[in-house]
Amino acid sequence: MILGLPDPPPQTLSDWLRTATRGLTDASKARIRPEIEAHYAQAVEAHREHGLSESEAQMAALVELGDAGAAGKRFRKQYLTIWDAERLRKLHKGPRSIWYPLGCYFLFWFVTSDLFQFRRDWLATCNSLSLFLAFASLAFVALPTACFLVVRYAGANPNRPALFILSALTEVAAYAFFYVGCIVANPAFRKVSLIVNCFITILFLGFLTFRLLIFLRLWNKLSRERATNPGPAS
Amino acid sequence: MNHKGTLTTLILQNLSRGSNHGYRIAQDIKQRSKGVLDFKEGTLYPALHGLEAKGLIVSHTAEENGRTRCYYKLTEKGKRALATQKKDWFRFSTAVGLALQEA
Repeated sequence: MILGLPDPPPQTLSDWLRTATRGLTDASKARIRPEIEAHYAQAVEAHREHGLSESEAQMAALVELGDAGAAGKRFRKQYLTIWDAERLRKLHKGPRSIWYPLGCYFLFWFVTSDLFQFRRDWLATCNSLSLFLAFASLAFVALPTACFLVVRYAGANPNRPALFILSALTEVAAYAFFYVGCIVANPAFRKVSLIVNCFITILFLGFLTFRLLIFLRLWNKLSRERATNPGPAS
Repeated sequence: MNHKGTLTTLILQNLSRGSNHGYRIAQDIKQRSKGVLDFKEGTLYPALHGLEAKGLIVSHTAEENGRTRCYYKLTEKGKRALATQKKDWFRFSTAVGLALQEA
């Protein structure tokens, strides 16, 4: 696609495959291409047997493949895309460094020391301090430590599902920490009207749901990738 | 009319007759439906891989006429799913048939 204009209709199988597998990872393409190519070759052969010339048979087989753009949309929903792979790469890259958990511990110390040293008035009127500290401990201590240990000590192939779940939980805990800290536990927000509080709550929940749906979609694709790897006949 | 919802049932039914590869599955379905159901590759292969990910079918590669093909076979879980989907489909189609009948 150039400058937002749609691609011209594919003239060859390569064009069709290029459009249909656009945005997919090499592994996803390697899963799709051989089957489509074999399917196309057999379709061309069948059309040749019905008396069509080579070019007519190829065109007929290409038409039978259907709309490459529509096929591409279905493939991108089901298979890992380059964006998904980049997201997964970052999932491993961050927790690999020792600075990741240390940075999180520093944030935890900063938030809690700030509270206990400089905001005693806030603490005095805070009605969800235990919840606030629980989410802070989860988001900045427990879960980052777990992520770091999984990546560091699982060797060359870190346990992807475990890391995935831990990352999703870390994100949920971080959102919950900010929500509890900014809204529920914050005395200033008690003065704000109920409608504004509801609106901010809905915004937080909406954004968290959106992030979790991205994780879920990626999780489904990873599960499919693990399940669908054909081997030779047993 | 959108027939994509029936594709997984048709694939499982086709594979209940024996293992098969994508091209022959598509041709069998088209032939048995007298040309009405003509699923394109962009629909067929995501459906096949989706069924494989759910454990309803398994795949293996084999040579056919000098060409490496990916064959699919129904699992026990797939057989149970097929029985359920067929029952649901017959119930649905009977209900629609009854509703469409003139009084």
